[in-house]
Amino acid sequence: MLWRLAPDSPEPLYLQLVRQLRAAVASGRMQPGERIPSHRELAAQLVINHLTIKRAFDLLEAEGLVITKRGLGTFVADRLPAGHAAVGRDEVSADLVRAAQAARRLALTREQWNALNDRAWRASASPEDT
Amino acid sequence: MSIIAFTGVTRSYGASEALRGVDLVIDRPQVVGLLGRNGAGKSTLLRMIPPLIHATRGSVRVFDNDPWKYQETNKLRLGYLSDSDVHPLGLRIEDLFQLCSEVYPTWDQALVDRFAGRFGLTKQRVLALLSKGQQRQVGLLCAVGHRPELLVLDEPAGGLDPVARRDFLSVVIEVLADSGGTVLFASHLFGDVERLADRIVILHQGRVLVDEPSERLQADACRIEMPWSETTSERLSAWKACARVERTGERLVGTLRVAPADASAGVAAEIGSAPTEVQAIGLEDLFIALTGAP
Repeated sequence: MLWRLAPDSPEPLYLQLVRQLRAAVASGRMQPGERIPSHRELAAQLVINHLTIKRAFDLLEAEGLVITKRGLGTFVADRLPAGHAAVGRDEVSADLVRAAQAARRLALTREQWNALNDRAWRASASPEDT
Repeated sequence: MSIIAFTGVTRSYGASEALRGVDLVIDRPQVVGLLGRNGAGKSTLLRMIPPLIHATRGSVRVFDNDPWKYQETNKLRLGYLSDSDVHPLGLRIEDLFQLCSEVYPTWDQALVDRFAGRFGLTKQRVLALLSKGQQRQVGLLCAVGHRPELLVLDEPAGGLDPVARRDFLSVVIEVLADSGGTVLFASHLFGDVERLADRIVILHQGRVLVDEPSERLQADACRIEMPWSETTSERLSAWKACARVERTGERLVGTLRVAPADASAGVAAEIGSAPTEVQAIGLEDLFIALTGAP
């Protein structure tokens, strides 16, 4: 997966990592059982303190989304915890609420909002979906 | 047991006071980012560690001992890069490394060569002919080559281009991941501080203004907007969590040391009316609110 860190964002780096891995698993970009680079490798790749990476993965491990196998590395869990898809849904939902608030500020009608949603759904399709 | 302990440290240069009573303890390996405006006292503080200067009052302990008495042994455990390193400019890079290897029994030439390669430094070049950025890189390698437990960096990336800066950071990160040591570094580059630091200390006018885990400092920061009034402004300013209040037209903009999610309730409880807008902010905006001129 490609990480995208924004050190100047208000969101702490470790939470950016947590959120992005959750999203990657929820969307299937990271598959159950897939090996995740070591903290050290990620620290070198992303140029951030390895403790930040450890903090993120400790949280993800507590959620059951990743597991560490001693001597082998860290992996996306084979059996994903119940509700992991809901995590992804919550994020999408929060984004939608923000978009809906913006639509209301512009005094869009329900129909216009639905039309915008449909258009966004189509625009977001990747080639293999069509 | 501590790695660094400053207690009530002051330092005057003639009539001007650079440090006005600093308390700062690092008692376990961690990366501490030291932020502060120009003249806040950052370099003065860091120079007391190798040590290069005396405190006027107060106590400085490094590795639990008096850094002036234990200079010779401390030096082997410590790497220091000043904000303006002066090398013997007639030497070639490899001569300087040779000197370092004679001073430090733990000097790791293979490590240094690997990093020198990453920086694209040619070891046969004479120091005087290197660019400023390359001289900084050589300085860093001299500071990390003996794998010190404590790395003190004063504006390490000052004057480096973005690529060199990233390479520079990656060296520090790699050394750190290997050794699990302590880094204390002063910087104006907020992105770098966020990439490296577990803990952030803000020095302001010679005193420690903020000393917190970096994620808490970031989490508890927001900006609010509400209608301006003299009373609202006064009440908000009086609140401990308020870093700054400004007026823009008919609106009041406040910077708070409160999580964005708690801001509305917090402000309402404190001054009786809620903000109309709340926004999360980054470290840089918070720093400016805390240390900018009122």
